[in-house]
Amino acid sequence: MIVAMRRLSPWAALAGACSCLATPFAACGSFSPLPEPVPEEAHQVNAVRVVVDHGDLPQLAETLRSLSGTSIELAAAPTPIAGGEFLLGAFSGTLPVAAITVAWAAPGELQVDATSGPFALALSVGRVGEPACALQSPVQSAVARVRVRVVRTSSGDTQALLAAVPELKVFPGKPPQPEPCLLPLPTGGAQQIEAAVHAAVQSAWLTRLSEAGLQILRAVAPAGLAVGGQWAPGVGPGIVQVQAIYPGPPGATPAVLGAKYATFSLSLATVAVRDPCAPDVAGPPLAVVETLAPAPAPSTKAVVRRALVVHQTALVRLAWSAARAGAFCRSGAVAPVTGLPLQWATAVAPALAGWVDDAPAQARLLPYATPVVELVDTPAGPAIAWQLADATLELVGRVGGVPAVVFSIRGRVHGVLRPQVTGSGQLALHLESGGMDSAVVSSPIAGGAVAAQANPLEALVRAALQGMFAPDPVLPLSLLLPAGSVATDVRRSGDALWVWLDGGVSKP
Amino acid sequence: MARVLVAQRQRELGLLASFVLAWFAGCSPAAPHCEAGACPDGYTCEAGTGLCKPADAAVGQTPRFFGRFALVAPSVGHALAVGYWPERQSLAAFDGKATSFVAGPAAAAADPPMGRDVAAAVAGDGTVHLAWIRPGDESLQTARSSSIGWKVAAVDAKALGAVVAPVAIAVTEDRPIVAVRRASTGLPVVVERQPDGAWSVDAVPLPPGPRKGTAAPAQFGRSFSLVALSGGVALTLYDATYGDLVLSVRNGDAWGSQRIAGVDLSSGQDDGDAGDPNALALASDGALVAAWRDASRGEIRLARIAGAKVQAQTVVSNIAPGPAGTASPQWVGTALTMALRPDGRAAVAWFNGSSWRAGLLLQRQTGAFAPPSQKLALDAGSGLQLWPSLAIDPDGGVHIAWIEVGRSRALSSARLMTATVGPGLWP
Repeated sequence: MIVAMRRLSPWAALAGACSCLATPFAACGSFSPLPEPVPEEAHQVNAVRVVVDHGDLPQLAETLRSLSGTSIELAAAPTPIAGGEFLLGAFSGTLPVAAITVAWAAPGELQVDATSGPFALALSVGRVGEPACALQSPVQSAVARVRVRVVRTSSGDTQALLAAVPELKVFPGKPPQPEPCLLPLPTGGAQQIEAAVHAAVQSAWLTRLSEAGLQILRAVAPAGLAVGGQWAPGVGPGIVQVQAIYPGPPGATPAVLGAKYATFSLSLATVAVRDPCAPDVAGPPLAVVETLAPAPAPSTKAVVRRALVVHQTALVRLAWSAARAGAFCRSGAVAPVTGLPLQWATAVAPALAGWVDDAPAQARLLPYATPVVELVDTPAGPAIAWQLADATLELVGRVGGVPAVVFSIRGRVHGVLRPQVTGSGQLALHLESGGMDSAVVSSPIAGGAVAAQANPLEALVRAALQGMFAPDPVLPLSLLLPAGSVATDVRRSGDALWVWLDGGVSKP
Repeated sequence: MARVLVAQRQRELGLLASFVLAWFAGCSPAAPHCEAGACPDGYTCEAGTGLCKPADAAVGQTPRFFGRFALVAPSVGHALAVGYWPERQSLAAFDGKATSFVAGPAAAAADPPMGRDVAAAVAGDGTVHLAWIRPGDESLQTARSSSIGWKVAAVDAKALGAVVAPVAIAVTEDRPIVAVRRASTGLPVVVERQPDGAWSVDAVPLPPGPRKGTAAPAQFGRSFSLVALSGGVALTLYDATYGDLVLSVRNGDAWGSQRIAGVDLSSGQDDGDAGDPNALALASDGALVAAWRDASRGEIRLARIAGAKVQAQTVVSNIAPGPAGTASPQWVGTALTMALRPDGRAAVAWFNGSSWRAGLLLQRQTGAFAPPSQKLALDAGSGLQLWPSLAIDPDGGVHIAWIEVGRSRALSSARLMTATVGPGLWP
């Protein structure tokens, strides 16, 4: 059974070792916390990025306006003024938000500028114990500036905080004539009333603007992407350790501002303890990903659009570590093969008639090489193509009710996994195609090679590979991103896979 | 691995023999109603009527089992193999010299084909008891050997109803006890013949889920193992819901159960998929000995169970050298059987589903797993060795039988092989 964990590694599932995250009981291994951080030298810089297109900043501003409110209720309790001789009565009113703009003030630092429309507050002021005098306090506009930024914490995740004390300027409107209610006030009394209005605007508006800004930053540079965990695909010694962090010193920002994007970079480390069933092949180099090829943003509307960009070399490294840990060859990788005639063995090798029970087959893959992974384009969209230059695919049937290997097919195994967005906005990996080349079919029954029928063999291999990836493994975005985050589209640009995201913010 | 076995005997009834029998019986192309080869193997064409009749002459030949079968050893040198003979579509028993039919068309013309999933046990007086399921009404059938042949009896259908495999049998005080599943619920029951001849049915209480809050299991695997205790019964069954091996023990009328594999016994955490297939035996000191396949690790494990204390160890690993410096996991133990000698030594025979060969493990079973076990190959050249079965005779002799398929791999070359384990082979 699977022990679900809050901080499991999504990348292990992405590597396509098995549909662990969807299979209820297939001995798909276990997840556990990292016993200690993965050494820094194992980290691949810029393996994963979160990217915000500058072109989406106006929409971010609109989202921030929606989150913080377009009409701000102001309220204040009675306030003594003029040394307590006078009392400003409780007042309330509404601030209409006219415009909000956002811009990157610095890497990882978002500046929010907000302006209100004109409004007026109904006030009352008078000597303590005497009837109050009612007056209108017109406000020409209020202008607010909030700066929030993302910084790295000591544990390698992120924290969004205020970069500076929020600023507010309230520009009083000019009354048509001197306000008689203010005349009895001593010097400075009018300024105290303006200060009370300022304080009411500040407490009501700046708080909401600040919270909305922080929420947006938490969505675009989520702390949850900094994950660490280890995955044991089977019960053997094989283990994959994965850790993603926002690199850099605590307090610094993990962001970079480019001409087109603001990017928040993560480094990814994968360490594998080899299972004896896996080939002992050195891992791919830890390439530093310097460049980011632009990708066109989807034309659909979004609330908080950003993209999770995974570089091909990171996928290669993940696939290598999963294979090294035995993800492809443990008994747990045995998969049911469906969609075939019950007489599948006879269909492939008529000479085996009568040997194998009419029952569904199982399949197991034994790799003798490390997987080669690359991003490709298919008619349906970008995909991850993989191949094992040398592997054996075992097809297991029942003979007299007893499971046994019927076919052992050795050759080059290849497949194409296409990431696709599910109806619930999660990301699933679907086996688009799969097969074997240069396959030599043997059977213990025959004591060696058997002459296989080409078409039934092809169907058998395809069904076996489909069985290994069924149901489609689902990347649990909800464990990594703020609640409500969804994937909207998947694109490829250069050597990177762009997963466009949306959501993850909500009104307080 | 040593490649030694002793006292190997073989019997064969090939297609050629049946054609010869048919030819001698007059089934030539010139016969009026049937032709040579028109009658199933084991039948002859009766010259006078032209009908296919069971060939009495076939009795006394080695049955051609093709599938799992049971082996019991009621007395020294006379192990009895009981299984389904596909060509005769019948349940047959072979004592090394002659075959007798228990059920199916070869035993009674009106019988439907039957005899798969048979279980066998031997009583103290040498009587052999069998249990199997009759297709059609899916009723539980039993039989006992006697001087005049097999006495077949159906278990009272009103008390039990339809049943489904697996079937296991044990004998206490010369009365059979059978473990099987009710078809209506899929849940295990123990069916026992009472001294007055009536059958009692006792539902095996299900253990709770392996962890707090988990439901009781609802699915069970293909392997039950049953032993009779003094005043009780012990049953191992595979809990397919959680992938655990469960031991249920009845003392008097009280049942108790515990998970003994597939779950960490101290922490309760899941420890993989273990227990299918399994085998159970009773040691002379009252301890239980169980063997099972751990599917997650691909290994065979052996345990001595005394009360709640379970001492388990892997006795057969699944790792074999593979290409490119890899280790290639084997499908070991997809079928296994166990027998326990009165002196506490255990024999485990298993099927390697990767090589289609059988192996034999001998282990002094005291719980300490010392000295190391002895592993033996059933040395029969390049043939396939299927469905090994073990039995211990009253003198402690270990009998092993399997189905051997020769180099040609032709189904018709399948033959029953039997052997005994020499005393010098034990560790």
